[in-house]
Amino acid sequence: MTRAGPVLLRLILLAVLVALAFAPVLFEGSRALDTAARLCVMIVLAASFDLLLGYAGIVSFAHTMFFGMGAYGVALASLHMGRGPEALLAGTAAGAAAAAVLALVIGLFSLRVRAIFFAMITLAVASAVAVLVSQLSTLTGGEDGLTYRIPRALTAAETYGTIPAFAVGPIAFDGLRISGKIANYYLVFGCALALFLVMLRLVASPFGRVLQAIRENDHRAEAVGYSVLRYRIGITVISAVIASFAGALYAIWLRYVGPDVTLSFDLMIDILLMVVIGGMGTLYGAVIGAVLLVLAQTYLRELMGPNLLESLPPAIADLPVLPELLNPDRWLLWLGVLFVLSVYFFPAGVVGRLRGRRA
Amino acid sequence: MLRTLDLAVRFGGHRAVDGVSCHFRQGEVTAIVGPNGAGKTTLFNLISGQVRASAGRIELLGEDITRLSVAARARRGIGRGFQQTSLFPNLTVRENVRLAVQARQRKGGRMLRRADADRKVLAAADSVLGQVRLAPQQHRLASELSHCNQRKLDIAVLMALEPRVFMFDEPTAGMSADEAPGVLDLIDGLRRDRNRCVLLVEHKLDVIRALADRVVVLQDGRCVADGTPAMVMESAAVQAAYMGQELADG
Amino acid sequence: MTTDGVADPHRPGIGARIGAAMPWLLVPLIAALGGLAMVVQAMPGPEETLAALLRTPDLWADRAAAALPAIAPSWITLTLAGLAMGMMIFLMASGLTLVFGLMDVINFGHGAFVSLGAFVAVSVLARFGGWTASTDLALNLAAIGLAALVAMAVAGTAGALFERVIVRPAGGSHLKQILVTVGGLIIAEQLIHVIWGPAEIYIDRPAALKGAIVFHGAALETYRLLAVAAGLTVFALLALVLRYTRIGLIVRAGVQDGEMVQALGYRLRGVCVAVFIAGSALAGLGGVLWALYQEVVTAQMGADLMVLVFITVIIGGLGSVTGCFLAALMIGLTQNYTAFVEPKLALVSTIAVLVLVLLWRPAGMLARQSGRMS
Ligand SMILES: Nc1ncnc2c1ncn2[C@@H]1O[C@H](COP(=O)(O)OP(=O)(O)O)[C@@H](O)[C@H]1O
Ligand SMILES: [Mg+2]
Repeated sequence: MTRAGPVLLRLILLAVLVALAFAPVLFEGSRALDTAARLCVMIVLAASFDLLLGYAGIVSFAHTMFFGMGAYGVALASLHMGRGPEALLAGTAAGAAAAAVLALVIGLFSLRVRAIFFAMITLAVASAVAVLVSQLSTLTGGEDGLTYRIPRALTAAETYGTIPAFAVGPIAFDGLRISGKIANYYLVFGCALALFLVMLRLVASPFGRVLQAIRENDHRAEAVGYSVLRYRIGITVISAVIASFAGALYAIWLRYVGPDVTLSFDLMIDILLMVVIGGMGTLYGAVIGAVLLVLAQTYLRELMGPNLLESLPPAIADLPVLPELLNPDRWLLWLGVLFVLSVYFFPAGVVGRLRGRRA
Repeated sequence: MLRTLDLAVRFGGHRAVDGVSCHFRQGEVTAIVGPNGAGKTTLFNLISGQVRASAGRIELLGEDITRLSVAARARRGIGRGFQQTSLFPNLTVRENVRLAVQARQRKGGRMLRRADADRKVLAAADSVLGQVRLAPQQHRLASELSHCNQRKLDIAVLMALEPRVFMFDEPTAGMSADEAPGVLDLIDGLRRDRNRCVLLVEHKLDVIRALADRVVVLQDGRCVADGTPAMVMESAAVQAAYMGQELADG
Repeated sequence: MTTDGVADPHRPGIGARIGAAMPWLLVPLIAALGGLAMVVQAMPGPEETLAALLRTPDLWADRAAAALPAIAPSWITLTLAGLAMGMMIFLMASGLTLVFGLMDVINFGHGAFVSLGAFVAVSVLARFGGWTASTDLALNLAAIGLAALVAMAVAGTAGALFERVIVRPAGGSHLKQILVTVGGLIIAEQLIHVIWGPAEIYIDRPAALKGAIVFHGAALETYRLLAVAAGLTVFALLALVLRYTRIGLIVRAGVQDGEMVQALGYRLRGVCVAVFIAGSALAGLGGVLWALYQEVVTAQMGADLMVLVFITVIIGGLGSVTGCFLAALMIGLTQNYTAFVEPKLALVSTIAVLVLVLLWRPAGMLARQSGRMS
C-alpha cells in the first residue's frame, strides 16, 4: 500500500476538473471543445451507471435508452415548441418523466422475481425501443435523427465579449471571443458538475449505504428490515433520471440527436467499459474511465494510426493475423481483454489500484 | 408474544418442519435443541420469513405474520442471527452495525442526510460494538475479521436491531472457550429486559441449564418435548432423541 | 412449493390440468390470433371503426368470410416462416437455458457461438462451391451438413475454451458472470473481424433450397421446411437424451438440485462442461441455419439475436428445454405475424408476449419449482 497512490488519484481528478473548467481557454479549436463537452456528458452518464452497477450491483443494458429519452425530449420539444429556453426545460422534464416511468415499470417487472432477469429484460426493451425509434421516422427522424435550433444565446452566433491577446514571459495567449458556444459549454459543464456532486452526496447518504449493503448481501439486508425490491427499484429510477439529464445536456450541445449517438449498443458497451475499467462503486472511477475512453476514441487513431502499421518490421507485417490484431480499428479487442482482466483482478479498477485497496 | 400454530414446511417430499405449535413468551429464554437435521434452522427460517410455510400460522403479538415479507417481519420486531455467518463483507465492521441501527431508527427524511453525520446512529452503533468487544476492529472490513469475530459481528448486527424477538442460531459454535462466555452473558443480559423474548439454538447442556427458562426439543421436524430444562432433560424422549447425538457431536 | 389448494396430488383438478397444458396450447393460440389479426386487417373499409363493425355483426362476419380466402395462403406461409424462425431460435437458446439450469451461469456471450458458427459455415461452403451451385438436392444437403458439422465442432471447441477461460473463474456471482461474458462477447466479435475481415459477407443459399413448393396456393419455402425439420430433430434428440440416457438423468437431476447430485458422488463438473460444449455447438448450428436463411453474416449477428434468445428463455422458464422450445415457437410466430400486420411493432410484440407470460407466471412458463430459496 503506497501512500503516493491516493495523492496521485486526487491530482488526476483535480487536473480533470481544471482542464474541463478552463477548456475553452486552455485548448484551441472547436474539436477540443467538443471533446470536453462530450467528456462532461459521458462522466455523468457513466457515473449514473455506476450507481446501478457499482453501488447496487445491478446490470442494466438500457442505460443508453434513458440517455436517449432525455436527448429526444429536448430535440422534440425544440422542434415543436420553437427555439427557446422553455423548450429545453420542457423537453428535459418530459424526457426525465418518461425515463422515470419506464424505469419503474421495468424494475417492477424484472426485479420482482429474479435480479438476473433485469439484465436480459433491459437488453430486450432497449433493443425494441431502438428499433422503434429508427422506424417511427415521422416522429423521430428515423436513422437520420433530428436537427433543431437551440436559443441563439447558446450558439456561436452570439458574442458576449472578448478576452484580448497577451503574453507574459513564455506564456502567450491568442485572445478569445466569448461566444454563445462557450456559454453553452459552461451550461453543460455546470450541470454536469452539479449532477456529479448530487451523486456523490447520494452515495454517502444512508440510502446509498443501504444500496451497498444490498449489493454485498441482499438476504441479510432484507433480514435487517430493508425492503430490497424497493431500494433496487428506487436506484433504478434515480439512475435513469440522471441518465436522461445527461442526454438532455448532450442534445443541447450537439443540436442533433440520432439513434447512433444516443441509443446504440456500442455506446452502452462504452459506458460499461468506462465504469469497469475506471473502477466500479467509486464514482471517481467513472470519471477516469470516461476520460480514458473519450480521449482514446478521439485521438488514438491519429496517434497510432497508420504509422504504427507502417513501422512494423516486414517479417511481422507479412504474418497473416498479427498486423490485423494491432490495427487501431481493433482496439476494442484490447479493451475487451482489459475489461475481463479488470473484472477478475482489479474489481475496483484504476481508482482501486490508486487507492491501494482491492475492494 | 410469538406463537406458531401447526407450522409445517415440505421440501419436495421431505417434511423439514412438521406441525410445530409453540408459544414463546415475553421475558423468557427458550432453548431449542435437537439432533442435526431436526429442523431447528428451518424453524427459524420460517419464523423470520426466509422460507415460506406450506401450512400453519405464525403470530407476533396477536398479528398474523405468516404471509409477510422478511423485511416486513424484521420491521415488526423479528430479529434473526445466522448459523452461517451472514454479513456485508466489503463494508467496515462499524458500517455493518450502523446499517442495523439505521434500519431500526428509519424515518423517511433521514435517508438523504449524510450517513456519517448522524451522531445518534453512530453512538448506538459504537455502544453495541463495545458490548461485543469489537470496538478495536471497527474500521476493518467485515471480510477481514477472524471467523470468531465474524460470528460476534453477526450477533452485534442482531443486537443493534433491538428486536422484540431475538433468534440465535448456535451463537457460540466455532468460538474459543474464552470468547463464548462473553456472548452468553450478552444473551443473559437480554433476559433482564421483560419486553423481549429469546430463542436460542444450542447444543451444550451446561449452557442450556444456565441460560434457558424453557427447552423445546425438535426431532424430525416435530416438537417431541417442551418444558423446564430440568423436566425435559430427564424425559425419556430426550434421552433417546438427543443425548446420544450430543455425544456423537463431541 | 406452491400451495394451490389441491388436496390430493394424484388427481389434479381441472384447473391445474389446464394450467399444465397451457404452455402447449399457447402455440396454436398465437397462430390463431395471428390469423385473426390478418383477417381484421384485410377486411375492406378503412373508414369504418371497429365499434361500427361490432354494431353490425352480420356485416362483420360477411367481410371476414370474404377476406379469409385471400388471407389463408399468406397465413400458411407466415406460419411456416414463424415456425422456422422459432426452430432456429430454439437451437440458439437451448444451450443457454440448460447451462443456466445446470450451472446457474448466465452467459451473455452465447451469441458469439452463433456468429462463429455462421462464419465457419461460410468458409466451408465457399470451399465446396461446386456442391452448392449444383441443383442436386442431395449434394446441397451434403454441403450444408458438412458446413454444419465443422461449424458445430469449431463452436464447441470455442465453447470449451470460453468455459475454461471466461466463465469458470467468475464463480457463482451473477454480476461477475454477466460482466465477463459480455467482455468475452466483445473479444470474440473482434477476433471474428480479425480473421474474416470487418465487412459483412453475403452468401447464396444452395441452388435447390432457393425455391418454394406451392401448397393450397401458399408458397412454402424449401429452406424453411429444412429449418423446421432440423429444429424438430434436435428437440427430439435432446428430449430422448435427457429422458433415457445416464447423462440425461444426471443433467435432469442436476437442474433440480446440483448439490444433491454431487452429494451422490457424480462429478457434476464434467457434465457441466459437456453441456456447455453441446450448448455452444447447438448455437453454432443455429448460426449456420440463420446465416443461410438471411444469406448474410455479420460479427454482431449473434449479439443481435440474443435479444430474441433472452426473451425466449425467460418466457420458457430458465432451465427448461421444453419451455424454451415452446417459447421459441411462440416468439417466431409472433414476430412473423406482426411483421406482416404492422412491421414496426415486430420486436415490441415479442416483448408484449413476455410481459403477458410474466404476469401469468412470474418465473416463466416452465420454470423449475423447488423449495430452495434462490
Ligand atoms: N432450503 C432447503 N431445501 C431443501 N431441504 C432443506 C432446506 N433447508 C433445510 N432442508 C432440510 O431440512 C432438514 C432440516 O434442516 P435444518 O433445519 O438445517 O436442521 P438443523 O438446523 O436442526 O440442524 C434437513 O434434512 C435439511 O436437509
Ligand atoms: Mg442448523
